[in-house]
Amino acid sequence: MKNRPLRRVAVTGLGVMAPLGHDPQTLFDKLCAGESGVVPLTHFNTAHSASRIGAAVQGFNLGEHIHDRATLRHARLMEAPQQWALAAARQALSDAGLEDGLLTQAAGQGAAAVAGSALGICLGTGLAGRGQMQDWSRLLLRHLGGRLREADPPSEDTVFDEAAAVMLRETNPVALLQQCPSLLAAVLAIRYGARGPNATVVSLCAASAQALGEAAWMIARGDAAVMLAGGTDSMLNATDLAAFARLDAVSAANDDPAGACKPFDARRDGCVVGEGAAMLVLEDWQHAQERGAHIHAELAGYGTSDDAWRISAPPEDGSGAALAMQRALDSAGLPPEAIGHINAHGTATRLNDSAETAAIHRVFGAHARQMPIVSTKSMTGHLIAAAGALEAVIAIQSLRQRRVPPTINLATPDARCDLDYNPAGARAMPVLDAVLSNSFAIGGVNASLLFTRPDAAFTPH
Amino acid sequence: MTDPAASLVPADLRAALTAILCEILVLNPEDVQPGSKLVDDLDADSIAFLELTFRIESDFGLEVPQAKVDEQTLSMSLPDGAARLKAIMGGSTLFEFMEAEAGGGGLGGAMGLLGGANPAPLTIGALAALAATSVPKGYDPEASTATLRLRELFRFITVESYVRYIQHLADAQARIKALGGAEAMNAEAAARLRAAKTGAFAPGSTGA
Repeated sequence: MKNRPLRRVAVTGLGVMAPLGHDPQTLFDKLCAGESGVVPLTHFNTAHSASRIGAAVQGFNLGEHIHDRATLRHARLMEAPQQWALAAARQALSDAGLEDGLLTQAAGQGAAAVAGSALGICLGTGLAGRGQMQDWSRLLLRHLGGRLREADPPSEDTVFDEAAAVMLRETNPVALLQQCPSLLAAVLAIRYGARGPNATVVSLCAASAQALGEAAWMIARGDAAVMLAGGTDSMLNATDLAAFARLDAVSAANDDPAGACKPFDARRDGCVVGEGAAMLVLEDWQHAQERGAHIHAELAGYGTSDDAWRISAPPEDGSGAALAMQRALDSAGLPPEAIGHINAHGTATRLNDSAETAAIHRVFGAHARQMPIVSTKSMTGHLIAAAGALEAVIAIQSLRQRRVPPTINLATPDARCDLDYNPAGARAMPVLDAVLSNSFAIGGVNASLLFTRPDAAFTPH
Repeated sequence: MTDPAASLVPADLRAALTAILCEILVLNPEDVQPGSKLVDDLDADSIAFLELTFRIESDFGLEVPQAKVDEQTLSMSLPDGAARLKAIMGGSTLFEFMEAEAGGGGLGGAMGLLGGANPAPLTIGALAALAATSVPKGYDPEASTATLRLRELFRFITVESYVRYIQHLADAQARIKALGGAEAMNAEAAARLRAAKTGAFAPGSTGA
């Protein structure tokens, strides 16, 4: 019972804009059916890319979700991932019964169930302004591409100077805002009048798991009654996908999109990149009860750590990941045996899956084999900065419905991945009161979130 | 090679500006009327003015000189601020344009009266009428314009006055270009910009 937070944190709203689903229930049903969201990529030229597949968000239309001019103006500054997040935020706040009141309150025409000063935003996001970077490359090529091919070519330094002049002349006044990873959190704050804490975490694959954990602490320490927390990301563009593939982290199985991501399988050769947004409404437990909100789950524990080991590889014993999971248990005040299921990081990289398995053995001992450990990345791909938030939503759906999706594409056992990864199909769990969701990042950042059912018998309070 | 004297300014400037306003401010074309106040009616904020200026420079090949006015000048009273602007910017800003229009009435007439040696007392209501628009929210129509600060003149800018200002800039800059000589450099820069915009690279136009 160490490190107990000061206040309990309820999850009262969920929203997703993801491959396989534009709402949590559709997504969860497809995951339980073992459906893959991985497709051949067609929206940019992948001819020169080592990876040509990904789990893409399809059929998104901002106009279906956002109608007010002020937010549409801000959306002009955004690329798709930020726009998905606007839609996911709207879903989550609607689910929590807060969206209409907040919009009215922000317009100065009434009061919401939560004061603007008690509403905060905490997000995990990826690199912003990627499309803009490509626009700039194209612009410079168009302006200066011929210079070096002239009969008497100028020096490279001269052309570089000219490029700087082009950039100065052609850079839009909003270019800096477009590049800023924290723009989204600011726009959401303006839209909903959220005058409480506002923070953006950029720790790659752990970003939105950390955003959720830190948001919970902002509530626990009394800085906010409600936090809109989650993440969004896409690396499905020519620049990022090529760079990520260079790290030897991405599967080369381009000819078999649905079968490419093989977590915990001996044949695994890397992750498949996904994209999307997921948002949650976290709320002070008492605040949620007093306003009669439906409580989906409790965010009962959060642990975070760093491997302090290698920049893009975990230690084989998974000690850093184990520390994050142990801290999540400690902050929830629960023994390892209380956990009934883990939504694993499970990227299907050679190193992650064995290290994560070792970490689970380390923390859970004999209990490690008594629960399904699932990588839903086998179907959604790896949403990078949004992965933690998406998998938190999936873990909460598992908890609510006492049903656990499968890990697909697991056919060839690996001796070092020796747990129950639930490869055979969705499994009903008559008793499931607590789940853990893991997110581990390049740079060694680890984050584990622990969710419990609101009616769980062991609630340690 | 592109003719350096060719203008990028469209014949139907009002339509082109309306399109840019619609894009930046996410408006429908019917929202943008000649008498619409950019700030009060169309919700243009400071970032929107920056983008608008950028687009006019970039799309029309014009220089818009009022982009950089210091805080002190903007905080001055309307007559003092206008006089100071004229001294430092040399008669090319939006504010001064309005003053230049004095002969034809309109807001420039009000500016002329305010900035002249013998400032006539003018109400805010009369100022708005001269600008062919209504009194912006929060102003007393009977109050003297001497109580306004230079920056508050933004509140009186209408689509109509803005279109006329851009046309004024286009005319002035075309005259300078036509003079040639010392302006050859500007013309060449404009030609390079134009060549770049059409996607054609013209090696001959990029001298050292």
